[in-house]
Amino acid sequence: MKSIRIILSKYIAIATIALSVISCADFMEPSKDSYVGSADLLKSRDYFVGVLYRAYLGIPTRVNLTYEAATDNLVANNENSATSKAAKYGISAQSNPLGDTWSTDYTYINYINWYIEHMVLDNTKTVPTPVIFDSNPSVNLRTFYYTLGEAYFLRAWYEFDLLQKYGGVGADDKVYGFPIRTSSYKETDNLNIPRNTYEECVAQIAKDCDSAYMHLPLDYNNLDANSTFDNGSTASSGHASGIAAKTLKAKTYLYAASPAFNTASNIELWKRAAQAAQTAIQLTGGSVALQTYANYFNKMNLNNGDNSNKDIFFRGPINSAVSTMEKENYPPRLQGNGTYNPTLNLINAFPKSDGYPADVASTITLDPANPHLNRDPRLDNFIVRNGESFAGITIATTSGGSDASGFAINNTRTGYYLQKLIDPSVRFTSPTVTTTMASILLGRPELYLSFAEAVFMATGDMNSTTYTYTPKEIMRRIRERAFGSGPSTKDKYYIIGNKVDNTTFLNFVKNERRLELCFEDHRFWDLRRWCNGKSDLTLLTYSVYGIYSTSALENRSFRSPYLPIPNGEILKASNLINNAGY
Amino acid sequence: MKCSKIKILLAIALTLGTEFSIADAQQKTDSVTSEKNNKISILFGKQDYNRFVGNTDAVKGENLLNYPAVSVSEALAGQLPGLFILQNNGNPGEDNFDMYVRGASGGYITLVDGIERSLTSYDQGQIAEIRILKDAVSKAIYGGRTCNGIIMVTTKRGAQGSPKFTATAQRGVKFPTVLPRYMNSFDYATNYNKALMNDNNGVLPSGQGYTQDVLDAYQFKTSPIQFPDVDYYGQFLQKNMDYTRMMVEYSGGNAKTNYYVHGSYKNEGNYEAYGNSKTGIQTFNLQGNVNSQFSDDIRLLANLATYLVERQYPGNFSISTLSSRYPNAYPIFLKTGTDTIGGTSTWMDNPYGGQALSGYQRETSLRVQADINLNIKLNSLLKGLSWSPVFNFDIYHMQNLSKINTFGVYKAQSFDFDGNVTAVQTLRTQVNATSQSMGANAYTQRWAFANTFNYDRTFGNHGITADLFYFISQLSTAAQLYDYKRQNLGLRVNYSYAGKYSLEATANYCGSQIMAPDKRFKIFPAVGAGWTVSKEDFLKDSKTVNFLKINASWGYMGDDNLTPNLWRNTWYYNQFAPNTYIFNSSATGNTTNVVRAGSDILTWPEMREIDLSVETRLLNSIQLKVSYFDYLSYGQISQRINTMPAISGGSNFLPSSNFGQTGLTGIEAVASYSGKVGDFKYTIGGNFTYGKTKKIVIDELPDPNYSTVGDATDDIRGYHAIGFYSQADIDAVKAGTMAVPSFMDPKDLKVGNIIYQDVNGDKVLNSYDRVVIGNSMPRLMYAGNLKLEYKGIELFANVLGYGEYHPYLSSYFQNYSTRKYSTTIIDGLPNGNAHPMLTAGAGTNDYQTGSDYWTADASFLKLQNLALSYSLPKEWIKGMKMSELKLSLYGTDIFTISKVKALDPESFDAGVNSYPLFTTYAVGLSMSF
Repeated sequence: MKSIRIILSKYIAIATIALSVISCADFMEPSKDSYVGSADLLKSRDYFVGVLYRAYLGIPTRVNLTYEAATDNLVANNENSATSKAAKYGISAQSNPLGDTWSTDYTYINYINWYIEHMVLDNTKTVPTPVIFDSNPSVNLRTFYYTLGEAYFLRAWYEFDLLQKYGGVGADDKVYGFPIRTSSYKETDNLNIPRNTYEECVAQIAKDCDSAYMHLPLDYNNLDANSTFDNGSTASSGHASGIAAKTLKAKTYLYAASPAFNTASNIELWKRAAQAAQTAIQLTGGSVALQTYANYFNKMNLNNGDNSNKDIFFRGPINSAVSTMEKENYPPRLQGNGTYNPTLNLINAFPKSDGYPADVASTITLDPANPHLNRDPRLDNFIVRNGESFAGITIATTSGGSDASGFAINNTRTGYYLQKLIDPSVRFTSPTVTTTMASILLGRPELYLSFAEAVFMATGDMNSTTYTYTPKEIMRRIRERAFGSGPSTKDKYYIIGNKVDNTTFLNFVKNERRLELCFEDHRFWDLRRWCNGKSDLTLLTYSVYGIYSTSALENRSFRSPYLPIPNGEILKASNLINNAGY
Repeated sequence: MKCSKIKILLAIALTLGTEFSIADAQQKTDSVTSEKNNKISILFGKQDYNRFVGNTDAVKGENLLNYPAVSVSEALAGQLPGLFILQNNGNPGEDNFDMYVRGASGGYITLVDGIERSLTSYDQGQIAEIRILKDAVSKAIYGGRTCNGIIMVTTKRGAQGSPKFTATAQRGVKFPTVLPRYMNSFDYATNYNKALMNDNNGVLPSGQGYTQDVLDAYQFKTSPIQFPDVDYYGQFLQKNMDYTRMMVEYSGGNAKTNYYVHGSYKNEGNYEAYGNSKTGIQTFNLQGNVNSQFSDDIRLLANLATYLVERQYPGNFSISTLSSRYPNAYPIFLKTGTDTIGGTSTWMDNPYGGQALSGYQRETSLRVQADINLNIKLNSLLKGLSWSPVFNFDIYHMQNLSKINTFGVYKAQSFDFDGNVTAVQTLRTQVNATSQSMGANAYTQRWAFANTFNYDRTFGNHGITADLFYFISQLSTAAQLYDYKRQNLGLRVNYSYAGKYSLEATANYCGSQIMAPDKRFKIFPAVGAGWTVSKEDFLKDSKTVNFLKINASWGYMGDDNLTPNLWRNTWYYNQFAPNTYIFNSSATGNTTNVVRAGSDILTWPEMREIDLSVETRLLNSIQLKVSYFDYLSYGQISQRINTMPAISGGSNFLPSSNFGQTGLTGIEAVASYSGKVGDFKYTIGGNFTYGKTKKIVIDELPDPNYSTVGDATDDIRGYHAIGFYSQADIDAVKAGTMAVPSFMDPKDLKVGNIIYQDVNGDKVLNSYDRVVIGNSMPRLMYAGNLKLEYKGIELFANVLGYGEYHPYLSSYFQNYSTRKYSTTIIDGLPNGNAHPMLTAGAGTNDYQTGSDYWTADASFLKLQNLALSYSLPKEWIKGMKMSELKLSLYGTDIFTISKVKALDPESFDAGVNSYPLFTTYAVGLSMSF
């Protein structure tokens, strides 16, 4: 018996030693590795702010011409292009040739929601400041506080993108927006949630814009002494600002008041839009003269901080030493691809050089053979036409000309090339010249036009004094930039002639909006919001023309004033209902 | 935590055992399990086959020796029922196989001497046995690694007896089984003209294609430099390559100590035609082990196996150059007898430059594997109790050293009247590497410790075996900064009654670091039963049925072979475009993105396995086993991108979850018949496996109109070709009365293009019309072997076939756009279809739209192995103190029967993008002393 016990204890001792070599609990913990977890993010301000900056990556780097090319302003050179297909009844829930941003918008919204959820503010301070994570940050506290405002702005931005693209009237005649998400995804979340109503989405965007405004400086020119942004220096430009938030809010209210979404014709919605636009105008210096086109679109100014271009409230990222837009739209003779061509429809929308609409008799009579002569000076600013000297060559688009249709592959189908947003100093032959590219996303001209439309719709009177500015006065700013101000103005129709009255004012504003904002991704959406409910397709059924033939280049039609929610999302979430027509 | 649980359980087990033993030690009954003759190796031990409840098959190492190959896997093909092995290419030393067990989903793991190790490192001669464990009960104890099969390799050990020395030498040549065939310049140019004409309404577009003068020059080969016609395969590959294998073995031992020493050397290669750094491999294996009985109760085994491989290849040469360059692309040499080699500005990859002028690459890898194994009998504690601690330690290191030159490439600018070059343009000059540089390198280390307590006792009719395991391992790699750590505590209990009935149950408490902290441990159970019917009274004395046994098992396994860190939130901080946001020219925002969203609920994917088998031996000569298997894996990891709404934030924010389900069902059979007529002995055997997978739950858009649920995992979907367009058909398409293809513009359709079936009849050909058109992995495997012996002469033959295999034909068969033309343009496709209309364009309708025009039955049957040997009569060699002298002739992959003739059906890649598969003929000499 004794020997057994000795042997036993011997083996138990061996077994115990063998087992206790390894401390199990510690063993199963991950070894050191290159992993960066959520906790690591909260220890580094740079890493943490990076999450917000991730959401900036969805801001367009260039103006999107895809949608514009599916309007009466522009056609794609390639008649088989996605945009042309889309404009020929080609948009369906299964396939939207114009592309979908549903998924990417929600991805960015999730990043922003995560950021807002994890931003820890020290509320014991009179002005709440963020809790400092690390001792040696390259992002300072003040900037850090602003990032919360930027987060709200960006969320509003992507929410507006969803509302603009997917908002609409459902088969049940209710007006819907999108499913609102204000918290980042948790795996226990129920994702089969219905769309919020359009008005709920508008309220959410407005709330986010207001939150952004609260946390952000109005612009980066007038910061308080504690600011670490240098006043007016390049360090600040490109970030979201308080002005941007207020302008986005005004834009959202304008959409909400528009007939496609304001199906009950509620005039209060126009009043709300007018009020919001007025607030934004007041905050940005009131009714002031617009910068010249040369200044407004000057690519180099984009880089110089907001103070050098006070008319731009929000823009996309700076791309230096590029020639993307030029490669895409230069005439092939200049080694471009002539991808998008302005239509004759758009040319015809430009007034004559005396300010009269092209189809209203005045002292100036247009030459049908050269319809672009004696026109509104904006035409030459925005469009490359026959005989124009452009980027070192003289354009020849009349039949047989070297830039005309059929002369070389990719030459214009319409007789016109794109000029607005294009930098004519770019060269593709040695010595090559590149430019700087950034998209203008929110600006003063748009705000003026929105204000005029909203006030007129709210009051029915172009001289209404209900608001700080009259619609007429604000529209004058637009016309003055085009035709010149004061007694020397060439505008004998609006500024001097007073030919516009309350019966024609609305169409006048809409036409000015078309011209001023052409090629800036407005027309596609404006045409839709002006539709009278789900079955009005008048504005969306039209033909586009060029100069080479009297027959239409493309006959266009659409299923619905609204765009479809991608079919896959409907299949995945049965509570989502699609817009009328899909 | 969890670990303390393990410790407690172990302590309880020890304590229970202890007390039981003290009580029991006083009893004098003594009947330790006998029947040692019929024991098979199972995980961490051996088991009496009568008491085995699972499903296993094994092949003895000696059967692999008839197959001359650098890789054991090649020799293993067809030897084990259920184990599908298809070789992907013949690259020397590149152990590249598609291997799967029973069916195309699931997978397998390879254990060598009880620990997860690659079979690549071993020589056939080192192997005592390769056993495959296929059912849940016999696999369960290895831990949380679901797999359809465990390939359990046991290396040789010394045995009691006088010292035995064996030396073997094999030498052979390897010929490609099939080489792809491409058109010569004349045929290529003629057909290219056809393609251009097809694209242009029957007219050769001006300025394109080849003129009659040029075609004549190609046809009559008047000036081969100006109008080259290069036979790439003929010029740059030799007819064959060499193979050598040499091995020495020394083993022996006495009652107390046994030893085994193995040394082997293999090489193959030198297939390229030029250069002094031809592709080749040399391997060296050295293994030694000693088995020592320390005392009556303690036995120690120490084993050390090392493996050194040297591979070399040219600095910059790929077989794919041979299969992609047109015969008339450029002359190999611009001037005869010089190294001024041809090329074009886009194609600066002249294979002569690649083989002879591009320098070298040399890759060395080393594996060291060490095991120490103790076996301690604890009979003094408890009759039948023993304890085996095992410690393993492996190191693998690989490095690639190279000196890669950029070789000069030249282009002829002008020719004289005879077609000789008069002016040469230098496209690139030769730049030789000045120093050797280090390329790819890898390092892996693994240690494992297993502790087994075994209790094995019989009380009258009651037999009880119980094993308690504790297993812990860690795998670290240099590349991944992540360690794979595992722990298991397992219990296996086998009870048998009267040798007729056996019941086995296992429970494995598995731990893996791959899971979230509170999901790291989970118990997986399995049970099985066996009934040896032949021991029942009614069969006991049967002369017909000598043996009959029915086994059934059922169990669960977990899978921890997952991507690391799935449960953790993981982020990445980006400091470079395009993942930065440029606010302005002086301020750029770095961005942080989600790499993976973590999960709180993610847990082990599992597999439920059922295995039934019936085994019999009839008339003392026929062996037969038939099995049925059914695997269901569920909770497979998926991010559910296609089933979760995008409002989740999509792939950035959706965590991995347990979602997918896949089934695998099939049957297996093994049979053999052996007999003897005088001195003539024969064995005929064969095996058969059929397994089909099934998608049960997959991450697929829940579209009521289209679902692939129910398809096999390897099913290929595409359109069904039903004919060719006539002009009337095309008009009908344009008018909308015939289905309009969505994948191309109908106006680009041409007469002669393939028509696809509008399956759902909606007048549009789109993805909803795709049906199952083939499958990418064979579902059926069958093999037959024959062994004849007569007075020292032995003939061994092995045939191997794969069926239920309809893969998509590879690019070799699809000659369009800018591809090099193969002779399938003339010969047609293996499925009997003619090669579609040639086009120099994108070939959207015919070539790029997946359809059954391009799937073919690629079933094949190979004479996989043939060996003839003669052992000299013992009396003749006695004088030389030899115990055996054997001369052998071997052949492998000798011929193939298949509808696919243009390429080897075993791999469409072989010969086109990599080395072809080879037929080996070898002679061998083996001496034992």
